[in-house]
Amino acid sequence: MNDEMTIVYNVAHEAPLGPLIAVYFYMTGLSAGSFILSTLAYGFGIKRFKPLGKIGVVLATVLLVLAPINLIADLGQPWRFWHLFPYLNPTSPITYGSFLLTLYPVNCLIYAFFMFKGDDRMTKLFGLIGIPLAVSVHGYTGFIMALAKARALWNTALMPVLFLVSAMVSGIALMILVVTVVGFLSKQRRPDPTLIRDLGRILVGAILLDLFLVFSDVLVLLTSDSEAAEAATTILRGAFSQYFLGVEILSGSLVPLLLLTAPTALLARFATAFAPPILGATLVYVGAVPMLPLGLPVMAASFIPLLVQGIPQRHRPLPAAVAASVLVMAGILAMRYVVVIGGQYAPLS
Amino acid sequence: MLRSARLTRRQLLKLGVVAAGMATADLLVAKGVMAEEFVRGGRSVSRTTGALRRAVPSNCAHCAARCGILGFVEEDRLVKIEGNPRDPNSQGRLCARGHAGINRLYDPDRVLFPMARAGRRGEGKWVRLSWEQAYDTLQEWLRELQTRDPESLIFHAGTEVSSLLASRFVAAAGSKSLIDEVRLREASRETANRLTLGTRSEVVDLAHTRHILNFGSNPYETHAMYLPFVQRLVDARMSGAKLITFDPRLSLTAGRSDEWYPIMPGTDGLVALAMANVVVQQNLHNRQFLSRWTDLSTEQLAKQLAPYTPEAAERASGIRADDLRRVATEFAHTRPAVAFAGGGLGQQKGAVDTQRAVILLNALVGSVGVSGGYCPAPTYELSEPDPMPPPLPDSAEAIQRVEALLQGKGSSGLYLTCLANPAYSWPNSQAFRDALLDEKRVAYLVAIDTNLTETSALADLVLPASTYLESWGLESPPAHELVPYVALRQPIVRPRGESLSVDDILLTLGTRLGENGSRYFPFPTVQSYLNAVLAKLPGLSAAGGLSLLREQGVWYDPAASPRYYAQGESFSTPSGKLEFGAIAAETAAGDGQTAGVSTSSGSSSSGELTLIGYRPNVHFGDYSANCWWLSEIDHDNALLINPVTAQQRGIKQGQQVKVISSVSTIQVKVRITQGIHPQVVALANGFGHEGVGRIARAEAFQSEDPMTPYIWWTKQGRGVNVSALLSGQDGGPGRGLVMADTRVRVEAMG
Amino acid sequence: MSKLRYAMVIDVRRCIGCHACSVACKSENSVPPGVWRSWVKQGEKGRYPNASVSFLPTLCNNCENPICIRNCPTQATYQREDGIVMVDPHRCIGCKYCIASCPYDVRYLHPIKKIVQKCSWCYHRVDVGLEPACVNSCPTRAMTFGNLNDPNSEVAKLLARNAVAVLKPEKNTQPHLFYIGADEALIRATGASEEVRA
Ligand SMILES: Nc1nc2c(c(=O)[nH]1)N[C@H]1C(S)=C(S)[C@@H](COP(=O)(O)OP(=O)(O)OC[C@H]3O[C@@H](n4cnc5c(=O)[nH]c(N)nc54)[C@H](O)[C@@H]3O)O[C@H]1N2
Ligand SMILES: Nc1nc2c(c(=O)[nH]1)N[C@H]1C(S)=C(S)[C@@H](COP(=O)(O)OP(=O)(O)OC[C@H]3O[C@@H](n4cnc5c(=O)[nH]c(N)nc54)[C@H](O)[C@@H]3O)O[C@H]1N2
Ligand code: SF4
Ligand code: SF4
Ligand code: SF4
Ligand code: SF4
Ligand code: SF4
Ligand SMILES: [Mo]
Repeated sequence: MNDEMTIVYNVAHEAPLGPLIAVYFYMTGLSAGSFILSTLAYGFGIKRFKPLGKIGVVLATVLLVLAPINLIADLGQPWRFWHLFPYLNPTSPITYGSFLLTLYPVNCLIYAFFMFKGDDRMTKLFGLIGIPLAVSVHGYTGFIMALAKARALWNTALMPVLFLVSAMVSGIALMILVVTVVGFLSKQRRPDPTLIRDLGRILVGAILLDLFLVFSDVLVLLTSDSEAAEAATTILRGAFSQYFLGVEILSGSLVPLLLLTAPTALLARFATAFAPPILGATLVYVGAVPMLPLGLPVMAASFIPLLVQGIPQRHRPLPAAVAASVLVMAGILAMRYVVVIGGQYAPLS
Repeated sequence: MLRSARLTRRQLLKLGVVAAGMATADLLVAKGVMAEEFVRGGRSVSRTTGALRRAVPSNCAHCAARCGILGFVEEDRLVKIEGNPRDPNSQGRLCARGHAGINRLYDPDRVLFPMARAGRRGEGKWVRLSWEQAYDTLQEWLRELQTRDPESLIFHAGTEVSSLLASRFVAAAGSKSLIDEVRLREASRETANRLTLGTRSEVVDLAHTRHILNFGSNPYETHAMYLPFVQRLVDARMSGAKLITFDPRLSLTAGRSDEWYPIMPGTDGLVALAMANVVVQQNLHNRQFLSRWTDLSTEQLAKQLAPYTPEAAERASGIRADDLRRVATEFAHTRPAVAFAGGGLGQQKGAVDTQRAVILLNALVGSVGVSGGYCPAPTYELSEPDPMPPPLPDSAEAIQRVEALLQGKGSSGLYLTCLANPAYSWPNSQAFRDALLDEKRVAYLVAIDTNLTETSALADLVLPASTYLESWGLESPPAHELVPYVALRQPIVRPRGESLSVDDILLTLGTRLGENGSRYFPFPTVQSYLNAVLAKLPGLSAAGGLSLLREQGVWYDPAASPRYYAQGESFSTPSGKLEFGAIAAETAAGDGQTAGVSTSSGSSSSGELTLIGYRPNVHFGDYSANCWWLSEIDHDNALLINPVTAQQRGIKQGQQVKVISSVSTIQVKVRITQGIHPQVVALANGFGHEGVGRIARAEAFQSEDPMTPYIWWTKQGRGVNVSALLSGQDGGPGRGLVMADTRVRVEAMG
Repeated sequence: MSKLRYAMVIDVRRCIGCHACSVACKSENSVPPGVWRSWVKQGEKGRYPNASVSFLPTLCNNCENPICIRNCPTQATYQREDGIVMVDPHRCIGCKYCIASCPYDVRYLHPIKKIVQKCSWCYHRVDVGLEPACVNSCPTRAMTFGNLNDPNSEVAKLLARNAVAVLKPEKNTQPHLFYIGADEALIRATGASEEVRA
């Protein structure tokens, strides 16, 4: 309203990529993370992670069958999805995806087949083949973002790496939750505490790496051209700051770090008791109502360890790890949302 | 020969232009082959089949410019409107409103058969009638009227109605009251022109001018001759002409002008006279022109202009005296230079004299009736075929009758509206609505309309009118190449439903006026009526008459050359010269009002602001709101207010405020803008509809138009109607309806 | 003479912000409400009384190096020999990735047909020797269309005689839509950047 230009007329465009795409990215990420965890034992022979093998491959396969449903449902012409194969375009990252999304689940199935059959040699082979596939299947979603040159928030070489690391983060968190549930359902009626502890340690490393990448990304955005700075502002101070700073960074990374590394058991217990309500309140506060249906059951599940009485001393890390995992999973979902939807927020013209 | 370079090149291009329904095979290039020069219009092809579409030439009715159009038809459906390249005025171009005719034709809210009201007035209950029943009913009412008080028939014609047939009808029915919106609102300019130049309209010869002063017109968005005017204005500016605009508001014209002077509304007359004073004082006036072509003498002028000092003008208008001196000097030094005025002052109290002050500025520098100057508009006089009923008196009488009606002091035996919507657009629209609802004041209310508007929704009888795209009409618009021409409107498609063109309806009704009916309405069809009008133009008749027009849309005498009066021919005034006598006498009398100074402007001690209405560029009149191509661009209005004024009242951007005038109070959001005078607020006309249609009311709905469910501005809403706030009055003989000077208070809300 | 390359030049100095181009486009191409192949941005700047307005007609640049084509997974978006960037309505699956990729926000998903559309430079008219609908309508002839590579075409002459700008040159899309006299402040305010080419 001063010497600046005031826009008197312009048109508003609907963001082309909606929440379904964010969920799709989320699910492929979880799948890739789970798969990689499953290969720790079967591919790389780290014995103590053997229990993750079967859980991982089942999760990876199921998620990867579900994930593309989001993608197809989001198409304007879902019945034409087959056009992706005969009319493929070698320069389009979506084309890479078409093939990865076909090959990867097939490989998962073969891998699972040999694992359940007990053929360790073949399991290892397909596990190792699967790793690059899993990396690619999620990495390519990062390329979808990075190669759409229009959006400053997406158009960075960090994007595929960021997507992969966050996939690992969410994959480990999911694994902790599943291992916990499976543990309670098992004959021992409780999960293996060392497994949870080890997973918790990997999770801490992954979160730290993720935070570093996010930090570098935002820093570069801020100091780059004005379009990039505007994108950074959108997530730091603008419409998406609550998702980014609140759900992704604070409740999705920092609080879990605290929970996982908390020095005293008391603090952990205390934090654990408050983590779910914090998450719930944050979700409501930021108006992330669409995330509630997803978040609520997971949150409810996180109370299970608290409700189970008489957890022996050495099992104390369990509730903290579970709570941290819930928060992490919500945080990464928020990350996908911030990147996909927030990235399209700033008008291009 | 027409003279602009553009037109000459165009004439060459014309060789490649196909008119109505001609050749199909001679497209210039085959697919993929480069066209050296594209065809500038005249043709259109189907997007799906590539087949050439049938073209029907006609003209646009969405403003007074009446640009030539080609309606492209596929299987009896109008699929596209483009400009008619043969039209010498608009040269084949079209504005946004021109395209949107399709929205009007296929408006899902049109009334498509005659209806009579079933409940109380305005209750919205209707019974369908046949045309025969409708005519019989109306004939009955007309007969009742004839026996009681035929003069109490009021015929209210909107901007699209040809006043020829309307006045014939009114006179034959024995009334004197024709409210013709166009004549009413343009009255002051037309009166000023007629008194001074001897013709009703002017053409500003922009194509050849170098310096342009604009008093209260907005040619980038409106102007009565929008397209033809702005095309030449932009060409002139591209070749270096300077544009200076006086407007209280940063219109798009003001915002693109070389200089913008925010002026207090109603003070243009003072400013123009002060500038005239400067020119004469500095001895920059063209003595030769004044003595040869005007009734003015320098001595007399100097004396009469003496009281109009730049300082006095500054006090009233807010424009610095130094600026006025500089602008006046520059105007007198640059040749050719021209000054013109528009609707901004058309509705001021002293508008006739203000307009004449502007003409005076032109005359001082020898710029009337010359190349690059203010010229009497060359047109063909389209006169009514004999036998003619006696002519109607000045509209002042009709306005007084309406005003009496509004004040509850008069009544009307039959109020007939014809494509007019006074319950929405008349100043103090609510009072008008109340009057129409009152069966004691208005015995019968009949509406000829395309839609159920705020007015026609109240009617006892609604006759479905067809749009201009399904109607006939004949015009001779002010010729911007200065060679007069005739333009035909003809139905591009058959009228939808049972609708009929206004002319068809009036010709039929005319025959039912008893004795007068058979005398004055001997025309079985509209075409026969038009033929009778055309018979009075021998040149056109020789060239082919109606059938030539039906094929080409326009006709002009190819041998004619541009008509500049002061280059030989004398003006059409009684003396053959420009006549300023009257204005000079009136202004000398120092009467603020006649000099274009409205008494209340200037002071703002009361905290009151002056409210002006303005027209947004994509809307025409009050009813384009139901055209979604246009309403999508502009669907609501906000009160424009200066940041300083807003701050004084604690008003924030986008906030809701109350606007209180002497007749009404409305609530509206503000847009704080640097583009408005601090003592003025402005609201765009044409929003806030209750009637006309669902798109106008910002609703999304299912209809035969697959697009209407996708109306997306339902939350933004439809804005407010500025007419509700205005107060109007009869400006006196020849001055039409006056409604400037609406003083309002603006208060922040909650 | 080199190959045919269509280009458009918009002389913003001539533009009156009338929206005739965008409404002509709605009409010619049956573009539904809420989506646009072309529209005219309008801005206001300066302080009272030194305020002014600017316009920027906006449409697909029909880029020489279009990112939309690169990223379309089905080759539904393709470039014709004359440079016009097209969308094959039967091929498009409506993945919207091209919309997300275009730096100019000029593509849209047709709400009824559920395929992506954009300005096609009215190829159906151009192919039979007619100017695009918007160019044909523009009252003040602010828009010019023709063969970039023919030195005698109007566009080539305009480009030769004037300083012109394209939007977001840094995206390396190489637009075929050139502006004369565009207001930098308006371009910046609406999320683009310009390159001036003498
Ligand atoms: N878009 C559009 N175009 C139209 C029409 C339409 O409805 N819509 N209608 C047609 C018709 S019927 C007519 S009569 C013409 C009229 O067209 P114009 O002659 O251009 O008149 P307006 O648009 O009424 O007003 C022009 C400007 O006057 C300013 N103004 C208001 N009061 C004053 C004042 O006291 N002094 C000065 N100097 N300026 C003032 C307003 O801010 C506005 O910008 O337009 C025709 N063209
Ligand atoms: N506040 C304010 N009021 C003004 C003016 C102003 O500047 N400010 N300008 C004045 C001027 S210059 C003029 S000329 C008058 C014009 O005032 P009017 O002559 O009343 O004309 P409009 O308001 O343009 O519309 C008249 C009627 O035409 C009908 N109509 C005709 N054909 C169609 C159609 O095909 N579709 C639809 N939907 N409706 C149709 C509509 O029902 C509408 O009610 O307004 C005047 N009123
Ligand atoms: S200028 Fe007036 S007559 Fe010409 S196309 Fe526009 S609305 Fe119609
Ligand atoms: S402007 Fe966008 S849609 Fe058009 S060709 Fe360039 S990248 Fe593609
Ligand atoms: S929406 Fe259609 S045109 Fe766009 S990238 Fe997907 S398939 Fe290609
Ligand atoms: S060239 Fe055709 S499709 Fe493109 S904006 Fe103009 S009218 Fe629309
Ligand atoms: S039609 Fe021409 S003048 Fe009107 S807005 Fe478009 S480019 Fe500008
Ligand atoms: Mo008017």
